[in-house]
Amino acid sequence: MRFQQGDPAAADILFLRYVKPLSFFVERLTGSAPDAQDIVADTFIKLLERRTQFKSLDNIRAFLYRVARNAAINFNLASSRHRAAHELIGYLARAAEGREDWLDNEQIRGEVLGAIYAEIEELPGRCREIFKAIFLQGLSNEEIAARMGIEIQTVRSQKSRAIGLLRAQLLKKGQLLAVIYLLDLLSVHA
Amino acid sequence: MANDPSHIANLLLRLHRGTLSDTDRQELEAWAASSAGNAALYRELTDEETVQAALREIERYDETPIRERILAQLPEAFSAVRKEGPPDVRLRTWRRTIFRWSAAAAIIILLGTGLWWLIWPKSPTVPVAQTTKPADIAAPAINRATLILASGQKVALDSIKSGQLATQGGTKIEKEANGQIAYIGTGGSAALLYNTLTNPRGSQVITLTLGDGTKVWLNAESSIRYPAVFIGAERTVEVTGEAYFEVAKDASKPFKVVIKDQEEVDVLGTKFNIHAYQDENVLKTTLLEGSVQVQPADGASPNQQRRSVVLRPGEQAELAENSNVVRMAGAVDTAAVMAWKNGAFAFEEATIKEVVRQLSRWYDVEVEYQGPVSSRTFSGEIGRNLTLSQVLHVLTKSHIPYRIENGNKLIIGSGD
Repeated sequence: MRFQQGDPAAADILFLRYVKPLSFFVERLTGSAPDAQDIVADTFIKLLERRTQFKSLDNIRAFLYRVARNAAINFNLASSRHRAAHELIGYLARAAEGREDWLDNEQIRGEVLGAIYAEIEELPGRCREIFKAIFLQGLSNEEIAARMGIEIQTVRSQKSRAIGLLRAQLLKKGQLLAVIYLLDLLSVHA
Repeated sequence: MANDPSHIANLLLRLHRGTLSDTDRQELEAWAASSAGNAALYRELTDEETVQAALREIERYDETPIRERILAQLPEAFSAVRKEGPPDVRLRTWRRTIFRWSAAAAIIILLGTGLWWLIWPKSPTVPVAQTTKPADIAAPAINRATLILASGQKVALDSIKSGQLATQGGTKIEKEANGQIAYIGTGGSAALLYNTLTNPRGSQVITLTLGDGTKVWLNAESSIRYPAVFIGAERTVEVTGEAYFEVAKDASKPFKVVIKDQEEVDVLGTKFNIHAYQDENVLKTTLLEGSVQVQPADGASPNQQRRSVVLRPGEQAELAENSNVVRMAGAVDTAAVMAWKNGAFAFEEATIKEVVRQLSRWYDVEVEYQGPVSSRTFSGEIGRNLTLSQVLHVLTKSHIPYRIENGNKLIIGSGD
């Protein structure tokens, strides 16, 4: 992989795929957005320092989540000593009581959502922007065409292209459902 | 590995991608059944709305402060600007080989309620790979067009490399790197050398550039016959099936399309679509740009005056089967008419038979109807790159049963 060979462009791509999902994951564990930023930055630095040791993207994802999780636990334990952070108590209690299954499930949630998000982030430029506008911002074809200054036809064709490239069926489901809904509406008179 | 969260995450991702094996499924079921928390998480991660809401939340995070913190420690970590365009091809290819497409069954299961499937998995315990592969048909991945030269020689275009593939009367015929066919040069021949390009069922759209620079897109199960070099006062081509034309302007040589000896379209520098499949009752000509005149063919109405219709952009003309009167259908949704060229199926109050005719050409399937055909109509648009099952899922949602047999036959039930 180019990432292993130190290609900054490959590091850039990995960063963009996982920075947001990891931030979401760590914030759920620590309950603190600014601290989550520090932890995520440190996690990526560790990844970059060990870049030669990864065999696959699944390895990389597992590494990111494991390192971030451990850092979040350490942060929670350290901060509990000099912060009476009420909002942390729930998290701390569960983590400190050895509720490993709770932490495991947070990690599973984080990894699954992260990998699905990364799939969207992998789409080529304009296709990605258009799919995000539809799926993540809930804009209509017309709104996207107007905002991006492109034809509705282009929005439609890029959407079809995204559906072809994406692998998680769930991401395509919304698009299918939109059609089904339309069909059901229009087939009433039949 | 059962207790490794990353492993469970991978199983869930395989479920999402339709690549879950039978063993994987048992393992995932066991995990979900082992605690209430696991069952709840399973439900959450297979529910579209919940996942979409979480992804929307994720999207709102700002990566800039994190990037700056990393760059403060490792200044060379990233490339200077965000790379637009396709992501790292090698990473992609690598992932592709790991997660191959497979199962339509898994797709349909996912589209239903996730947990229901977990609780009731006993009946179809045949391995996923065996039950689903023959039961689905992928969209055409390649173009399988054939070119017939003036000599009668047939050239299968997918089997030859790009570059020059033949010459006809001094004109070079080239296959371009993207698979398009182009006629280059004016040639020195005095005779009309007719070539025919035939695009079969179950084949991707092919693009052709004629000797005069006119571009033609040919849908599946369609053909075009044309001279390698246009000589004489007119440029005449013949089509069957569906073709979209962008005609090169040449005021001195009118361009004429003849369809099944039934209709003629006279054009001059213009963009239009011809929909003339044998199994459709109506021949449709739709104008996107410029101007065309549509009339019955010379021999089609010997005893009557030939009545023609002149189309303006956005309008469509119809010629019914066994009729020799061209009717003006007025303004239509041209995006829906052109959907085939842009990678989609589009239906506007189409009957089930109309829908299925389109599917049969694209997926190259035979169709059998069992019982009376539902009178429902369909409107909407759906990607042509989906598998047949994915498209048909829409039909089942509309309560019309179907099944695929032997990988080449589609059976449609009557539904409600």
